[in-house]
Amino acid sequence: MNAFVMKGLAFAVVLMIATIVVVKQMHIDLNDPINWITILGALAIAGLSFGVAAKYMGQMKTDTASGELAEENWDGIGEYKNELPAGWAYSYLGVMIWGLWYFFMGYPLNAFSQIGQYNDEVQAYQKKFQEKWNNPSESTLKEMGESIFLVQCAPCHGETGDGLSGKAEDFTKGRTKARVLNIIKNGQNALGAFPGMPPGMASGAAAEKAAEYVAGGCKGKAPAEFSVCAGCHGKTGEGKPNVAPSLKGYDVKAVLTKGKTGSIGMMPSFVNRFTPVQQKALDVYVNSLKQ
Amino acid sequence: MQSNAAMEYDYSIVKLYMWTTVIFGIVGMLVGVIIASQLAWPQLNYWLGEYGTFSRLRPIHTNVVVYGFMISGIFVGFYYSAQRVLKVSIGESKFLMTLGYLQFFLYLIAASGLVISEGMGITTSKEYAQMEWPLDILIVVIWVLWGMIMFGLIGMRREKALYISMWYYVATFLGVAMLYLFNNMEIPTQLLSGGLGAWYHSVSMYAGTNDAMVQWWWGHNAVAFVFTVPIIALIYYYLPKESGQAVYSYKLSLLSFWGLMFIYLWAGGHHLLWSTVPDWVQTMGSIFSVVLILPSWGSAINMLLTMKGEWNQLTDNPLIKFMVLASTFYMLSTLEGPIQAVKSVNAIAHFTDWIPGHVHDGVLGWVAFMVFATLMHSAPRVFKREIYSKSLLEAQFWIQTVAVVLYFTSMWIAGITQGMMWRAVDEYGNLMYSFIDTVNVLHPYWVIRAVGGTLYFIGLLMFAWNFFMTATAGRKLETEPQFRSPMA
Repeated sequence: MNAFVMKGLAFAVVLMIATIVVVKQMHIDLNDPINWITILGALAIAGLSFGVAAKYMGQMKTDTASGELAEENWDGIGEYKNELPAGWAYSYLGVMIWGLWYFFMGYPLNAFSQIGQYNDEVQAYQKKFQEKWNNPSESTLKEMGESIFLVQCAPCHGETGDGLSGKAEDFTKGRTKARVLNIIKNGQNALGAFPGMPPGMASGAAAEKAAEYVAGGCKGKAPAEFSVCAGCHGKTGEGKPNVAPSLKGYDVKAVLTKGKTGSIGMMPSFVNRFTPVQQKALDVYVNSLKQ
Repeated sequence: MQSNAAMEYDYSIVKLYMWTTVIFGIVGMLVGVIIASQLAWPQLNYWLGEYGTFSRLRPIHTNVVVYGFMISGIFVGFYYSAQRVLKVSIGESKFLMTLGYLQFFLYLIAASGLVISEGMGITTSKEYAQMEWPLDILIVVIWVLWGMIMFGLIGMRREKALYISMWYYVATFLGVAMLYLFNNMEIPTQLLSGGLGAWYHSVSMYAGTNDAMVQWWWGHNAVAFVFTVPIIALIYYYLPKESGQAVYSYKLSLLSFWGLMFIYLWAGGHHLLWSTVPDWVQTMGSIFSVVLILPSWGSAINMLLTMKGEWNQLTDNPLIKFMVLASTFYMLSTLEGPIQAVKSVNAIAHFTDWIPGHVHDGVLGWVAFMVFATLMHSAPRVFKREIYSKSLLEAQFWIQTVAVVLYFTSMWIAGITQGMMWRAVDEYGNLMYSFIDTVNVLHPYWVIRAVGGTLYFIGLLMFAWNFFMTATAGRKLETEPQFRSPMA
């Protein structure tokens, strides 16, 4: 191999190393077939282009033009009757045969369906996912929940769950006493999953007491003033299916299923977007955000 | 062998197109530098109200460099070299001369109309086919005039056989004519709406996926029949002519030509991979793209082998440098494109910076280098003056080569990183990065691109100055040089 080709290949290698270093810094998994095929493709582009071009550059230095000239001459330009370069000719022939095979025999008209491939891949992934995370620990659930939250929830609720200055629910504050009092006074009909709560269920000191209990996360024995709430929300605010949500934390499952409307705006339903494990993970994570 | 000594050619139309090449080059590439800077520093979007935004300037950049700079450069090459390889002066026919002037002035009107209408935001919103129907009609007229002139000259020719460059000019004419007509089938909105809408707006005759397929049949073949075919016509004339070397292989020219003609037209589907067009159309686009590597490389190899043993010319003559490097970048982009059209690679490459990177190693390294060489080789013959400065040309070459390398390497790394970040998932199967994460990571590469673009633009200004001085102040030549262009 002459010095030119070495230089051409060296340039290709430097470019590829730089590419892989940058990509690796972003924690990209190069075992993923799409990723390694791309890297291989890039290597082929750089290696072949610069290698082959350098070969011909070298010939400018070492070779001399020769051959039988054609009779015609245009404005002083002649033409040799040289044969085709063999490497080029055989590659051309090979690629054409490959093309014909691919189109007519390998993958004719309906042999491939991208929607079919997508569905197969999703199904295979879901299966693998369910096996791998069949019985996750609490800390795994929290991590998984955060991972989902950052993609699916953070656009409105913020990366820290702070609701982006009032654009959505602030999970870090949770249910404050003032909010609970407001709901007791005005009622609540934000969760499509439940029939809704009428206004004025309690007032004065009784409402204060109940609100304190709820704002505290319904911990311990419920005060007597909570009994009016317990009718729907359960003895210690644990919630009742299809009647009223849990007050111990955010009823994530209910919100994901039906979405939510409120004074801030509307949150769409996320039904069928998550597996049961993922839903649980989100529940754990969202309820861990309160400071 | 026939003697060229007695022929006098008429270059008046060549001169006109030379000036539009330079002017549109400066306008188009200046806008390119501005939009590259806007991508790196977005606050630059707000300095001219709606007229200064990226979305308004980007089509101006692409259309002015393609339909202003490149097409002008191609017409320079055509009006100059077609006369010479056909051995007939356009001045021998008053009729063809009149058509030539008419073609130029209509072109000037259309190109200016294009800049103004796109500046105002009037567009069909089809990429590389943004012109609205009044301009479309004008362009058809210009193209038909060009065809009449070309076939008129061919009819009057004194050389029996057509030189390779002529095949490629004819192919450019036919290819663009067919594709342009089909993609711009549109109906002025007012004819259908009963008077609603602006008179200049139109609706496409195709809808949905069909519209997309026709659009990219055109979009891709604008690359084929504007960036490739006529530029091959240029290099087949200018490289052997400047170097005095005979073309390496007639057979290779012939097979590359017919291969390119047959295969190019089928590859457009690769712009719509992983979209809603039928799977077999996508497969076909991919296959034909890969097969296309060989006929493309055939022309480049033919040119590089023409220079066999001519190392001295390469080191000593900047025009040869431009053309040899152009062949090399042609090889790079015609391998890069097909590999990006492989479905698996396209899953990464599509919509990333790797694509503009690919386009620009073609257009900056191949097309524009050939246009520079075309103008500079023709100038001493057209103006009968020596090239003003060899050292300026040499400096331009190196500055622009560095610029292209900066441009394509930065976009290469940025695009691959971007594509892989978009689909990276963590162990729970959730996306690892949001869009803004990629923006943060890619910012330095966008700065490098803006620097590369600026360097290229500086090189262009050097060229413009050199060309202007050659035309007006170069040392007068007594006789026309046969091969190598004289330069001071």
